[in-house]
Amino acid sequence: MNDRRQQLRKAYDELKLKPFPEGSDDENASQLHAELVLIDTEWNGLVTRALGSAELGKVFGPEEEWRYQDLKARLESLIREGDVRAATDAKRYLDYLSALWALVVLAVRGR
Amino acid sequence: MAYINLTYLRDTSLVDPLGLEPVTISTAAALAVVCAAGAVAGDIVVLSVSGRKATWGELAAGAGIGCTGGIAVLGAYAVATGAAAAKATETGAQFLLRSWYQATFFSASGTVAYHWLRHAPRYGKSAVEYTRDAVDFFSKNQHLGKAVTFKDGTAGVLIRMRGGPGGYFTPDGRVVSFWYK
Repeated sequence: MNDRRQQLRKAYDELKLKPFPEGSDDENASQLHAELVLIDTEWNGLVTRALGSAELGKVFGPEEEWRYQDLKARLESLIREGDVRAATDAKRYLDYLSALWALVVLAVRGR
Repeated sequence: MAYINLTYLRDTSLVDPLGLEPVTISTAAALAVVCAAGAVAGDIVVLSVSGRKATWGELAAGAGIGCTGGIAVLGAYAVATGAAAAKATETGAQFLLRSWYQATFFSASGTVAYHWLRHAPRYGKSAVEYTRDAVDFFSKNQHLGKAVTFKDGTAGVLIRMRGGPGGYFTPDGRVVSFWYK
């Protein structure tokens, strides 16, 4: 359990140092950026709670996977169908979302 | 490493009063310095009044009075600067803590530190500047807010400028997250 906690702490500290991707001039991408900010805020907040609780992954409910899949699908759709600017921004957001989800998976594995 | 000090200053050291020396000495050393300086000054006064007729008793009394006076001045300085520093620190910390909504974070200070680190350093903003910008942004643009519900069930507001700043806030203006671009 301590190893998992240390792994999660390390991953959290590393992600925290990554600059958050900037917004977009494209309306659709800008909307998805705002959603990514909220998910980032809530999930990282839950990770700090997980690190402070006795049982690591219990702060995350099953609905988080649905949120992840939903935002991921909409970003992929924009990458496929948006113009170059929107697609480029959406790709950056998808990369960040993937790194964030990896952190959640690490926390949930600690259940 | 980012660090936000949310505690009172509890330093037992003293900084040079004139700010001319880039050193901080211990309280014991400061006491010794002012006591010695006061004692010398006291004896100078005694010698200037009594001249060569000054007795050991008078010199000892002059040194004692000078030493005590020096310590009194030092004490007054320490109280004044200590109180001012504590007040300034408390004000900054209080501003941050009352301006942010803790949301899902483990602690209120954790939420401030996290968001500042994520969104502000690349723009050269301190935590207080970042927070002030977020609060001002809410004040000027709250009429543009779109209702949202946070994960903990709290009602919130999203204000977003395409390609520009944006943020999530509680309806009373506490910051949940804020970005410049």
